[in-house]
Amino acid sequence: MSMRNFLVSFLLILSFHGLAQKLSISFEGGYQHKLATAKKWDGKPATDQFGNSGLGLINYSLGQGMIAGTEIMYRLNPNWQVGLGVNYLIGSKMEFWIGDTFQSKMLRLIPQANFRINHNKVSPFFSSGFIVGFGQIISSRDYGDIVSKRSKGLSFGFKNSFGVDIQTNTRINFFIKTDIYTQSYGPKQSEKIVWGKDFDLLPSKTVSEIFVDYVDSIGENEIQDPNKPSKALRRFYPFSSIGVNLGLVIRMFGQ
Amino acid sequence: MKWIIVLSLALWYSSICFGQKVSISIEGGYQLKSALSSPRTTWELNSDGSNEIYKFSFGEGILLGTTIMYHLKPNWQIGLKANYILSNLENAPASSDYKSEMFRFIPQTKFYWRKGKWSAFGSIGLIVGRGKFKQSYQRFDVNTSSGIKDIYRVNEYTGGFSFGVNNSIGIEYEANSKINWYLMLDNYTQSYGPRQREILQYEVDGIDRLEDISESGRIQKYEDFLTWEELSITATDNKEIRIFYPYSSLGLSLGITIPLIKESKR
Repeated sequence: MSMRNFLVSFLLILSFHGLAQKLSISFEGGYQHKLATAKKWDGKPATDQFGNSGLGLINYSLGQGMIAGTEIMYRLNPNWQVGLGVNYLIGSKMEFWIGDTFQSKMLRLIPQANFRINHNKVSPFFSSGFIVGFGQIISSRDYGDIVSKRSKGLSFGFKNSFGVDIQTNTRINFFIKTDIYTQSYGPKQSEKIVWGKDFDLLPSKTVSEIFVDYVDSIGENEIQDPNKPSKALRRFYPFSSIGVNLGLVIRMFGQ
Repeated sequence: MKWIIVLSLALWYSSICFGQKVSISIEGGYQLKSALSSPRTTWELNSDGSNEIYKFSFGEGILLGTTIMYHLKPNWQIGLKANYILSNLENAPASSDYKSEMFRFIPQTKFYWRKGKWSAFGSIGLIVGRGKFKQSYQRFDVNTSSGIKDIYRVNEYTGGFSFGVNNSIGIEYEANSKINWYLMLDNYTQSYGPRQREILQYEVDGIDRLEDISESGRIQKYEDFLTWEELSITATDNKEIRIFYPYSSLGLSLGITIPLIKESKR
């Protein structure tokens, strides 16, 4: 993964210039709740408060779920820091029909700037960053009989955080913050990874049945070749969220 | 819109009561789409027969707003922001136009960090929005019995509330004791699911044929829950499960703040 190379070279360049003492590294985790939702298809079977059965709205964002991440920040001055955040989202499984589910995963790289108001014990901060996301959406139909993976294509968005940093007498500080992600993702390819839970039908399927390329436009009379992926219009899925994250910062620089 | 007047009066009243600790801002800017989307309903057929997705957010457009803030501490304020965003979008290949309007009420909290005449700030708030949008489109409807017809239709989507989160960061400059200037990066994370769609205009080959559609047939209701009876083809009301449209955006706004506060400690 080029991300690791990037991180390593980033660190190397900085330490080469003898600046590593201005670096800090943090680890964090939390839960993000859906925000700026969309609806999924035409709803799923549900019952209302009077016991009537029918279809209910599925209001969702695939950004909802657990997040774990790390940030490496370089201190420009006591108030400003710039750096890179990397985090991983394991989306909550969402049932969109009986036996049919959606689950997202996303690796996010977030170049960001952080502004800190320094106080003795508790220092408020806010940060903003640009998200480059590598996502995938696993959709499982009929209790896992057909499973497909939507992936490829980059996802862009913004991350904004507000929080407080709690100082200790050691090199380690703790923080609590609210993270807001404003993001969507339009996968560029879908691949069937399971076709037949009990009897594997996948080998008997053609390339065009297994793979779908999601494109921005489709011509009027496109002829389907069974040896090539089929084409469908690209669709964007909501990945926005809001949540609370806890973490710790290890200062590599002296006070 | 009665409640807007009531709210404004309440705000002005509170500004008189707490005048010593209140500041008022006026701002304007432009927002660009973010967390864009392509809802299924906007997969429109192009006039040449090809299909194309339309990536948009109704959050894109001109933003005008005002804020009233109460100073809890010199560097900590709480208050209410109210703004209006006007979005005019065109999906040219599909001959469609969209015009969206959204009023937002944003209770928010704001922090300052001051250095001389310059200060940096950050704010976060919860959006309660009232929106509507109009969709106009032109289509060639091919029908075996009646041939090709040129259809022009205008739909208006209204009703319901929209929720979201707004956060901003910016810098403020104290020009003099009466006025501050500020520039901020303003981020909106929001979507909106209207409750109703109404056909406002329906023309066939340039002739108004709205009368051909019954009054009830012009209205489509959007619900969060529908029973199987309501969903059956024999149902008399036009009801569908609600669809959400993207309203997220990021943009720059420029504004002025008039502090009604006499601050001694800076």
